[in-house]
Amino acid sequence: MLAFSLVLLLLLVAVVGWVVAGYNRLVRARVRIDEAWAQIDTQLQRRHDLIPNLVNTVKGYAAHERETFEEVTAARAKAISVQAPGELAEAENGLTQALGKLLAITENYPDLKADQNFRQLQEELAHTENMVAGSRGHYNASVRDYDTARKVFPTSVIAGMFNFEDREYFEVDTVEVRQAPNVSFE
Amino acid sequence: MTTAGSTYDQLQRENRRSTRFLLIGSILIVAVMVWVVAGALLGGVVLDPVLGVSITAIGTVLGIVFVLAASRSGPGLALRAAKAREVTRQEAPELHNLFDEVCVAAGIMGTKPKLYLVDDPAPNAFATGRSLEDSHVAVTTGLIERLPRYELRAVLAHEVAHILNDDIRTVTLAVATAGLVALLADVLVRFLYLGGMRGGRGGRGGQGGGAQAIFLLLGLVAVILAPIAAQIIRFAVSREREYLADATAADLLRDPQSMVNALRRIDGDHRSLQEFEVATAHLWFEEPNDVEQQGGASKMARRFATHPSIRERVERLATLNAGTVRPDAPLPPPPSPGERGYR
Repeated sequence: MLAFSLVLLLLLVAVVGWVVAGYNRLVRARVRIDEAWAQIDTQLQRRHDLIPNLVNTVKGYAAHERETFEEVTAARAKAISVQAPGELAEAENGLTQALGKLLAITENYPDLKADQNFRQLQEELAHTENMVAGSRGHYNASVRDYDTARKVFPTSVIAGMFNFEDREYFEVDTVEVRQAPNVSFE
Repeated sequence: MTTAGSTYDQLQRENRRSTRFLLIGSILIVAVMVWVVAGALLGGVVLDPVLGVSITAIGTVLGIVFVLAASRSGPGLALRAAKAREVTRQEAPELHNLFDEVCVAAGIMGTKPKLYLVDDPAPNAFATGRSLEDSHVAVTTGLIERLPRYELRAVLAHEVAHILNDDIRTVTLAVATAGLVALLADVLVRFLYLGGMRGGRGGRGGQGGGAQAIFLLLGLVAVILAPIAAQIIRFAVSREREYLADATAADLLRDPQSMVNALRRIDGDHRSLQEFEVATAHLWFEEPNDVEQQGGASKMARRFATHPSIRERVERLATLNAGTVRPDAPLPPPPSPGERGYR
């Protein structure tokens, strides 16, 4: 009798321990997503801060390309105003396209391309785009890990018990700012 | 999940398994050495199953713990041996930018490793540290001056990959056990020498003497073979981790072509590092003493190399990223002299 209740107790402890371990694993994965999201936010902020500076520098050499400037400014304003991952991804895609147009314009102005300030901005922009891409890659990897833990048995049972919600991926196009090598990987 | 991702996962699993296998092998060699040394010292006692196994186990664990404790000063030592100095963002803004790009993709912006510079024209880099919180990445001035932006980033990613994959500790363990085996072999050599003298002077007999004679013979074999085996394992572990770090770095940045280009560019450079120690050779991005060997000698030399040949590394990356990597694509031009101010 004593042996039986002892075995029962041990079994109970094992089950509780397993649930706690699984729960903690899911919580950790979710915290990682939140951290990764905060990082994307920081990098997008950086991108938005860079744009007025870039527009002003290009304006100095190509004042009559008003339409493109307005497009970039509007896209930036929209990207700043939205919050949810899905909408934000869409707004950032719009901004990426507008930026691509702006960079295409600069190709027609050799004086602009030789401008020291512009070249520095170009490195800053390339760096920022890479930071955005890097933080996005890490965010999506974090969501994938969380999703796997949520869907794979046996942690899926715990995820169902404690209602671990679905998380969205962040999908965007990238603006091609790198000069070399000329190979695209995405 | 993409197919590229799953082959990468598979590689990672295989690599972990083979590393574990090799480390267990090197620990077994340590155990055999401990057993032989104990036998030579204590005689037939170690032939008793209970006593023999417990003496060997305790000796092995003590030895490995001792050597690992001794290697705790490793990171500081490695940085000093290479004459590395910490580099600030003001000194090298682009290098820090690239490093940030790697760290953000790896999700370690909160615990960024420290960046160091080594004054040396040979393009190379290394990572060291005990944990993510205490990790260091050093690059040579030659690397910064010779590599274009994205290739420099790929090399930085390779070093961060070593940190992410916990290679520093793994390889330290392999180096430590190899060192322990060498130490035990040294003890045995001295003992064999002393034992030989004593044997010449006085008579010996009885069962204990017979067992000791057997252990002296075993010791002779162990002294010759064990250190070689331990070193071969140490280098094999080190090479396995290089392949994995290349793959992790390429996957992290989704830019395997830059990794391949960086390897090819560095392969074409035959400068050797000025300040380098054999003890820390396994830490570097490329074998620090650049030796080009041919014929049968090179095959043997490769077994005692800390790094796989660059051709092999490029081939593995190309297979892993089939379709996206061209191992024969023309290399982008190197940065113009003075383009990267870092002083």
